[in-house]
Amino acid sequence: MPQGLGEFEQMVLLAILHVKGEAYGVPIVEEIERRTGRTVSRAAVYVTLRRLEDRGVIASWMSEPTGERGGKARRCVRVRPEGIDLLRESRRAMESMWGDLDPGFVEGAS
Amino acid sequence: MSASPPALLRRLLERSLPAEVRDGIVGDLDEVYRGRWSRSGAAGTRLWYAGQVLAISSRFAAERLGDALSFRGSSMGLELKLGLRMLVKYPMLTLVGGIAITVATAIGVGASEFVRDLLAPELPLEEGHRIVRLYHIDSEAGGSVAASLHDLEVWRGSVTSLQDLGAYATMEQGLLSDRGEAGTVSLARISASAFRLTRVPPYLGRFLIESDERPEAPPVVVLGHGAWQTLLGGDPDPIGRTVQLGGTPTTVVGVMPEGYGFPQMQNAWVPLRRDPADIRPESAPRAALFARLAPGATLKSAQAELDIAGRRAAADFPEVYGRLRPQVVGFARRATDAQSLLLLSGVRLLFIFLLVVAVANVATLVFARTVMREGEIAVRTALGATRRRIVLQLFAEALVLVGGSTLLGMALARLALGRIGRLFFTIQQAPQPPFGWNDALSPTTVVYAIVLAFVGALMIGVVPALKATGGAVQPRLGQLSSGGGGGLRFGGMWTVVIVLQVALSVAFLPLAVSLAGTAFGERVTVTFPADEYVTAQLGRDPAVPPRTPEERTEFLERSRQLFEEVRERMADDPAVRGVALASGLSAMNHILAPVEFVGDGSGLPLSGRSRILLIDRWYLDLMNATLVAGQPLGPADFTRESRSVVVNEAFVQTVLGGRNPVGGQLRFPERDPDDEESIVETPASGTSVVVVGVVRNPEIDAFGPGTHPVIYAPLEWAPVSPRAVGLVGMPQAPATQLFVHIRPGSGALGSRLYGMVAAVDPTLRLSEVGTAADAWAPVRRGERMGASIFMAAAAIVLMLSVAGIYSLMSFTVSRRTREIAIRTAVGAPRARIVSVVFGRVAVQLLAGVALGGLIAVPVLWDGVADEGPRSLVIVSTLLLGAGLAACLVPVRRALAIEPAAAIKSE
Repeated sequence: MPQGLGEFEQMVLLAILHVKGEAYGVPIVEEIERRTGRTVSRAAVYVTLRRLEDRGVIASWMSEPTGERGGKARRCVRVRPEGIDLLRESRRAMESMWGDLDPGFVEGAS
Repeated sequence: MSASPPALLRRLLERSLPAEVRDGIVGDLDEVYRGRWSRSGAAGTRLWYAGQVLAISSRFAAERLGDALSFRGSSMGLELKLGLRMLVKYPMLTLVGGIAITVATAIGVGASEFVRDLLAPELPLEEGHRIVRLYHIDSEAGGSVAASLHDLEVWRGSVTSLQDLGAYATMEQGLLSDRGEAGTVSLARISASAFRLTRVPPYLGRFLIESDERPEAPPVVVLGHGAWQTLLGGDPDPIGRTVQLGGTPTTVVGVMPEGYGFPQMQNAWVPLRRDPADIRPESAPRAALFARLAPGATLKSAQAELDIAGRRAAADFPEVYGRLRPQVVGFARRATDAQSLLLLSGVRLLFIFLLVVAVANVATLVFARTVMREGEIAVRTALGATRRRIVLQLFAEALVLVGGSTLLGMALARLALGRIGRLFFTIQQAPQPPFGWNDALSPTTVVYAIVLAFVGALMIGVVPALKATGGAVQPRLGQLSSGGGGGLRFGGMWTVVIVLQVALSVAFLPLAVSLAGTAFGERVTVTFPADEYVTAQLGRDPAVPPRTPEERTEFLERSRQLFEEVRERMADDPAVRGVALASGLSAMNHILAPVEFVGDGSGLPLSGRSRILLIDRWYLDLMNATLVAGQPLGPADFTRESRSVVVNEAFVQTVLGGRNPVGGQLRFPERDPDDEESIVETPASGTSVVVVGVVRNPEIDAFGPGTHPVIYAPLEWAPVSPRAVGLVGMPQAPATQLFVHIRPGSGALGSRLYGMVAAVDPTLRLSEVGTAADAWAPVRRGERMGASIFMAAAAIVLMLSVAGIYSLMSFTVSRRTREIAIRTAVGAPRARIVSVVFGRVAVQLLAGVALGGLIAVPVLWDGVADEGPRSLVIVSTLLLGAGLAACLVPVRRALAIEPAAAIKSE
């Protein structure tokens, strides 16, 4: 039985989906920071990516090495269908928790 | 300059990352680094990169640790919890194993830390490790030679690797305040640069400055916090007050904060004044030199510069410096010689040995228990538990036991260290532990103990587990279902362990029992009224140090007169019965000088070792040392030229084997050069003296560590000691031991004694005032502590032997249950069965006793312990009895088995 997603995991998955072109560490961090307006710990992102891959939520592959990266390749990632399902489920759970609350509270809080 | 991340950090990052993510992450950081470099500049980017490396590598390290501690859904936490439960389930094993490892760790950690602190303590100062001391090595004679004030001048100007170079010399000195408070301070005459070097601001006022060192500057002193509290009563405004230091009126200019004691736990500092004549190479006084390594300098670079300076000095002044090689070492490092390192290694080895013995025993106990659980293990294996899983569980159990015991042992060591340290320095007659001494366990020792605990847990948990889980499951399950024990066998290793344990007990215990007897036994109740004798050290500090031999002789002669005046003044006090002077506390003096008894010259000389105590004419009467043969020392014998001595009964017994010495000659043969430093005052080698009488052993001389041979010679022989030559023009002041026999109930005399001494002459100093009981207390406490440690070690060995024998019996019997039952069923006599069962154990016990006896007998007969042989017999009997008693329960259990039940199970 697949485990649910944590808040940070959801952010990382959504960032992967948002990134135009190849999604790897650098643009993922930038995407999260741009959308949330918060500074993100790069270390946390890398650990989360590894954990998500271990769980089969995302898949990764290596691109060609480039000079600007000191001869290192990019580790690109994509969200697997299982990941999309988990994201949807997380969203449903959240919406259900928000549902039926006083509209004034919901508005004020948003 | 290219915008590449610092190579070292990048390599660190690569090392810390798992292979599958390494390239991706390192490349990402490289990419971002270049972007930031162009925006934020080099310094900021490097800092950012370092932060990222730290954050990422520590996150992944934490992940890895988490992975390591959990596997297949089960966590190490669960295993540890199960381990804890097993410890509760087998309380005897937990108790025996736990105590053994705890005590072994406490002794090992304590000893190892103590020796480490003694050899290489850390100075509690800012960058204390960069403070160094300087001296010479004599390249021909070996050994170290103190540097001189000439070296200080030269090196200050030429060695750039060193800064705040200075010198010091220390001494005990009497202090008399302007309000009549008196006491002794541990004084350093020291260069003002010491205070810059230590970087500790004064608590009140100021510390010493360079202008205080000028010969014409007024005398000033900086006091330590303790001295300010006790000698000036913590006066809130002590600055400007005048105190008499060795008779010189001196102004207090500052107070240092609590705990400050540079260089060796001093509590008063006066400037080291240098006479220009002092810096001539051939006559410059010797002193201890210190410095701080300049920024960027290392011990190596400083040594290189000193080597050059040394060669130059050797060329310029070959007679003085030809053989000397300057050296620089860490300041706190006390000993650099191989012998000390050997001592440290020896102590560590002893620790490992103790731990190995304890761990090997606990391992055998655990193994015996694992055998009992063989059925459980086989069933678990059959149900699909992997070998790794079972081994891990047994390892976790061992880890809980060993880890808990190690922590407890370290806590015990931490508690004991402070007490042992203080006791050690009291016995050494140091007023307090040296600056930098601390009771805490160093990180190195803690890591060392943890690593050993981990290895111990591996031995205890994993080795038996591997043995128990090895081989195929099926046969073991089969054996299990047929009702017998499993297929496991104890190897010969266990027999060896048991035999060694018994041997160690037999070798150790008699010694420990004898030592304990000495420490706790009859000497505690002495008939000697130790509380009625007050002893103190009486010394004299020169206001102006005597320089020429004539001045020195005059100074010593005058000191002698003043000491005699003090004696007379005290003897007149109504509370005092009598007063005497001697060269020291004879029982505190552990060093024995070699002597030869020539007799009348007709027979072969008898050689032996004896204490020599120089006494005045009142000493023996004061100590009620009645004459048993010959005649006492008469007034005419108390001269420098006199060659008459008396000896005590112990001397007659130990050295002469009961021969009558009266009228015979004693000779002092060539002394071992190492004895030169000793505090024994001996006449020149080859001198002959005549024994005129024998006295009963004065109890005061036997009150400490046993009755020892003592030769009583006139005090007038002193001082001939090499200690009379000191550092920085300060001869070690003459000192004598004062003994005051007070009338019972005359109240505290201590404070009055200070007054009497000060009234005779302000340069006199009284220190270490206390009753004879106080003076000997630390020695006896030390003995008791030594005996306790011995007893603890011996008790562990005994406990483990008994537990080991018990396990062996339980194991043997459980293995042979069916056999015993069947033998009983077919009518074998019980005695036969018992002898079969006991046979192996009896052989092991006897082999152990024999081996232990081989070790113990030579030691005990060597006179180390008086009642050794008797205690050897007692201990051997006790151990055999305990071993056989340990067998009783399992044997009774086996004999009680119903034959029918045993056969049915077949």
